[in-house]
Amino acid sequence: MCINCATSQFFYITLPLLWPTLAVAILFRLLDAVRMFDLAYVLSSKSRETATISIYARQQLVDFQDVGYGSAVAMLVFLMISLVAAVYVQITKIRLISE
Amino acid sequence: MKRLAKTIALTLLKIVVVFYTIFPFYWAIVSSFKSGAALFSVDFFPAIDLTNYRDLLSNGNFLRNILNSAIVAVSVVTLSLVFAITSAYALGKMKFRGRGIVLAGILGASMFPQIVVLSGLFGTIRWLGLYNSLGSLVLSYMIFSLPFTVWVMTSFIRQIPSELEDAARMDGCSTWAMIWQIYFPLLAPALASTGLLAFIASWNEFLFALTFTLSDTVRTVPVGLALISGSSRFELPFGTIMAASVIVTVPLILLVLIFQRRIVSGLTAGAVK
Repeated sequence: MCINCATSQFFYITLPLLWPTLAVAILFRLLDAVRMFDLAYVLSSKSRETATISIYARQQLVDFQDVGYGSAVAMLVFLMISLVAAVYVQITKIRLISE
Repeated sequence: MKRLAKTIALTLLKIVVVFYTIFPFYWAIVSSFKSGAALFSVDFFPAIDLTNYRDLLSNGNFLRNILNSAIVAVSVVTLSLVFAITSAYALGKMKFRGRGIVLAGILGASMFPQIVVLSGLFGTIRWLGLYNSLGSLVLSYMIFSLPFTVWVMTSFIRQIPSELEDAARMDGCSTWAMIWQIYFPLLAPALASTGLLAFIASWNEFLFALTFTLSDTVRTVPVGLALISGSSRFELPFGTIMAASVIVTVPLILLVLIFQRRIVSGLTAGAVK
């Protein structure tokens, strides 16, 4: 009947049951990764090659005192993230809020 | 034979995972015993030399930073939990119009990248006169800790059967007493795990702490650690930095070990994490 029981069990039972939780976890980790700041800042300071978008925005805001431009960058990040989150929720059809 | 191969493969995989997660911390401990040129030689079991630790613990600024971190984290956790229980009761047990919208808003706020609120928050903090004070950090940390705690507590409070509440109502229990005398004790394990996660997040926070504080006396430990510098600008005192990292990590490890069981159940109970 089943050639490799453990594998089938994982893909046909465990994973589908785990999926709702896993999908939410993936979304949160993804957004966390996009806004990553401290590791890159501490490890390579302001090197342009490793600066994440958060580092760039903060640099404009605080170091160059360019509040307008820095806020624009921040708003772009916000739009980007909401777009990714909205598309992700649509595609995966996860139900974030149970009534 | 096949089973043996499987066991060996699995064990190897486990070793790789454990090595990947533990080794950086082990290397930090090893490096914290060294100083000067010895830092750059590979030595897996160096002699234990506590000079770096002694220097740090006699350094008033570093102790002050740890105290600041503790004050901020404890205040944030206490405030978040008090607000989280009361709002979780409203969101989880009461029926009102727009509840779904409020929940969606809270979830949206917990996905907010910190950098987005940075500029607005900076203005607000200046206006409130909180710049370069611990109050600014408590205020700003609540932004990420409150949505998380409210969300998790709401999913916990929903699992508590409403019959308890009906019974208490029959005996003439007020809503306020309901929250603190019926739900609070039942939620205690959930509070411990949620509070601990909020504590870790506040303890580790870097971006807000870096932006809203300026002087040594109000810095928290992650920023103080990142700004440790050597006697000359060409020398990074890695030994001291490593020792400081170890000192900062130990309280977290102890807390996690104490609450381990509860954290695991807390992680699985809330659908979010």
